[in-house]
Amino acid sequence: MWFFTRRRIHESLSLAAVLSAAISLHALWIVNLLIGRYPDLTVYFDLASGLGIICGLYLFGLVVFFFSLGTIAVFYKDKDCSHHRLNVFLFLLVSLIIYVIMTVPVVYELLV
Amino acid sequence: MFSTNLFFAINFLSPDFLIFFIFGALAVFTFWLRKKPQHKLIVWLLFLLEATFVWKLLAEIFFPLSHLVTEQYLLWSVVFITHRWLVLLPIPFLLATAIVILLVYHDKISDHHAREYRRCFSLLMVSSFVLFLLSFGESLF
Repeated sequence: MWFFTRRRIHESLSLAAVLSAAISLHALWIVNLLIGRYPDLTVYFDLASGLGIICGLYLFGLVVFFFSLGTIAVFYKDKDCSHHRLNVFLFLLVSLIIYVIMTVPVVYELLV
Repeated sequence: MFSTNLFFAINFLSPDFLIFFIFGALAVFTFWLRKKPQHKLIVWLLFLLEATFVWKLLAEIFFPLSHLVTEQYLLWSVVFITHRWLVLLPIPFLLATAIVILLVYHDKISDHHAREYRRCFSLLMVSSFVLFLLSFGESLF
């Protein structure tokens, strides 16, 4: 497979992947909260009848993930991004914690 | 008798069991990542896991009449259905990120300079597994 034989892929791609995963997590909980707060938005995310907003949310998450992956990878291309490693790791950790907290039904219902 | 065996066979072949097995294998290799990185094997396992998740999601989203969607699921309140989906939602993104990290670093993931990425990889694996367990637990109610 080409990805095993390729000698070098720049670090910016892995940094961009971690950052875009964190960004898409934030985007998902924010949009989920917005849909709860403003039910009119449901129309844009209710792609399959009977399943609710989840199909739209998946699609939205994919778009955010790949868009931010491309943008950040281009931004960091041929740059030394070694000093961002720890910050990006902490950002991912915080994003995961916030995502889990903000999607818990009790917190979600309090905020909506 | 036949129907009982068929029931167990279907459940044994369901994506949830396969995901448990792959996560178990990945846990072992993740612990060994620093000393003996088996990056090719881990990447193949991650691809398999990602494919299984896509299979599971397709089964649950686009084929709602499959055995994975029970009557209890239909009786749940909207908030809890949404929560179960929301827990399952980030796992494909987290696994894709882990795949990219390993494809970039290959066996250099065990080097000192890749310490943060090793931590990141472990975090992605652990969080994916915990989220999957949470989703699996909620689906039992």
